[in-house]
Amino acid sequence: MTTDVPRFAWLSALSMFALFLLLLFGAAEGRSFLQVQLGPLPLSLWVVLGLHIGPVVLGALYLRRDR
Amino acid sequence: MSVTAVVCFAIVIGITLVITAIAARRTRSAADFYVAGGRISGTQNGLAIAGDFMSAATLLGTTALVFSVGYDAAIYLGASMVAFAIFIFFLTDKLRALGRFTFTDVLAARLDPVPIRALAAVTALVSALMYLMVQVVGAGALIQVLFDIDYAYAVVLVSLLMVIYVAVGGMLATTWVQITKAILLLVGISVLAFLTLAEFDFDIAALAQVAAERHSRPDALIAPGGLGLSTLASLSLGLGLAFGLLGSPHLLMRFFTVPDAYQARKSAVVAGACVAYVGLLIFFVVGWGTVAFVKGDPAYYDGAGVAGGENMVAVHLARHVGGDVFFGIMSAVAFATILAVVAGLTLACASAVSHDLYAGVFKRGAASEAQEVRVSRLTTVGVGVVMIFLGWAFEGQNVAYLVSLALAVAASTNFPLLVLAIYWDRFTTRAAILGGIAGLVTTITLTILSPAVWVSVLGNDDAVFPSPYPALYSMLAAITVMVLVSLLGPRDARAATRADD
Repeated sequence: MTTDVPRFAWLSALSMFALFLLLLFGAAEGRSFLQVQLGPLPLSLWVVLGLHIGPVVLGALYLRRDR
Repeated sequence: MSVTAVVCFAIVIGITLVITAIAARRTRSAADFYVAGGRISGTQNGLAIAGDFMSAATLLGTTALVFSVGYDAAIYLGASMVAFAIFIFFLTDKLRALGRFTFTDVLAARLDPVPIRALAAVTALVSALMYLMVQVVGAGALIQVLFDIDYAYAVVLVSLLMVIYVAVGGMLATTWVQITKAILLLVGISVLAFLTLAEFDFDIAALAQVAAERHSRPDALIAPGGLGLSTLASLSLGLGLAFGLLGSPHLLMRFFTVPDAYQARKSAVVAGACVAYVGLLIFFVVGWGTVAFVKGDPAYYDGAGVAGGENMVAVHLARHVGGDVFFGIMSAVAFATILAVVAGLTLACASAVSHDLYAGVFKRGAASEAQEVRVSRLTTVGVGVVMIFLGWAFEGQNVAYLVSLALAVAASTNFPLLVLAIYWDRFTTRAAILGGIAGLVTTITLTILSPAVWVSVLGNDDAVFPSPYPALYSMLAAITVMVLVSLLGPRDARAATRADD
C-alpha cells in the first residue's frame, strides 16, 4: 500500500467518515442515541453541522499546509 | 404560468448559448474539448464542480425529503460531504497527477491499458447514462410543471440544449454553464433562506418550533427514523451515495481541467464549501420553511397531494415568501440546475466513448486528436437523440431506482478500481477486470431483484432481494474479488515494474 498520505489527511478523513457512520447507525430504526441533548442542540444536529463544516475547515487547513 | 418564470427561463437559455458560442471559438484541440485545456482555476473549477454536483435532486429532492421524512434527509447531505472529504484528502492530487482527460487515464497509467479502458468505459457509460436518463425524465416533468411546456417538447428542449453545449462548446462551455448555475443557485437559495427567516424576524428557533408543530411527527426534524431504515439498509444507502459520488465519471473528469494538483485540491475545497453552504440552508432553513408554510396549506395541495408533487415544495415556499416574481426566479434556477448537470453527464459519456473506447481500445492510441473530437461530437448527438426517445418512452414512470443503480454501479466499480489502482501496488489488471465485472453484475442483479424493480416495475408480490439499496453488497462483492484475485493470482508485469520504481 502506498503511504504518502500525511497523517493530518488520514485523521481528517477518518474523523469525517466516523461522523458519517455515527449518522448512518443512528438513523437506523429503533436507535435513539442521536437524540441525546449536548448543550443547546441534540447530538443529531451537531452531527449534521460537523459533517458540513468539518470537511471545509479541515480541507482549508490542509490546503494552507500544501501551498 | 408566471411571466417572470418565462423571462428568466429565456435569459438562462440566452446566457448559456452566448457562453457556448464564445467557448466554441476557443476550443481547438482535444485537450480544449475534454478539459478546457487545463486552464480553469481552482476557484472556478470548485464552482463548476458544485454546479455539476448539485442536481435538481439536491435543490428540490432533498428539500422534499426534509418536508416528508424530516431528519433522515441528512443521510443524503452527509454522504456528499464525506465524498468531498475523501476527494480533498485522498484523491484530487493523485487524479490530477496521473490522469489526462478521464479517470480511466489514471487506471491505464497503472494497469494494462486496453482491457482496463474497455471495462472502465463500460462502467462509466452505464452509470452516466442511467443518471442522465433520470435527469432528462425528471427535467421533462419539472419543466412541464414550472413553465407549462408539454413534457415531450421539454425533453426535446433539454436534450437539444445539452447537445449544443457539449458538441459545440466542449468542456469550456460546460464549465461556464456550471459556474453560472452554481452562482444562480447560491444566490437563489440565500435569498430564499433570507426571506424565510425574515418571516420569523430571523429567529431560527421560532421557525423550528412552528415547523415541528406542523409536521406529522413532532420530533421529525431533529430525530432520525423517518425513512424507517434497518441498520444494513442505512449503511447501504449512505455508503452507496458517498462512494457512488466518488466514482461518478462526470465529477472525476472535472479535476483534469485545472493546471496542477494544488488547484485540483483547492477546487474540491471550494466545491465542498458551496455544497455545505447549500446543504445547511436546505436542512435548517428551507426544508423547515417548507414544513412551516407549505405543509397542510390547502393553497399548495390538489386532489393528489402537494400540487405538482412533493419535489415542488421548495418552489411553493419561494412563492409563499417572495411572491410570483421570486417563484419565477427560483423556477429558472431549477431549470439552470438541470442544464448544468445534463451537460456534465453528456460530456462524460462522450469522453468514455471517444477517448476510452475509440482512441484507447479500438485505435490503440493511434487516433488523431481531430478524429477523437469528431467521435466525441457525434457521440454527443447520439446521446441526445437516445435521451429524447428514452425520455418519451419513460414519461410518467418512476425511474428513481436508476439513481440508486447508477450510484451503486459507480460505487462498486469505478471507485474501488480507482482507489486500489492509486494506492495498492499489488493490484492487478486481472483483479480489476474480474472485480469490476463482479461489481457491475451484482449491482444490476440485486437492483432487478429489489422491491423497486421486482415489485414496483415487474409487478411481483414480494422482492427476492428485500433491500432497495444494493450498494453495500455489490461493493463488498467487487472489493473481495479485486483483493483475492490480486493476492492469489500472478503479479502484473507493469505492477512489478512500478514496485521496483
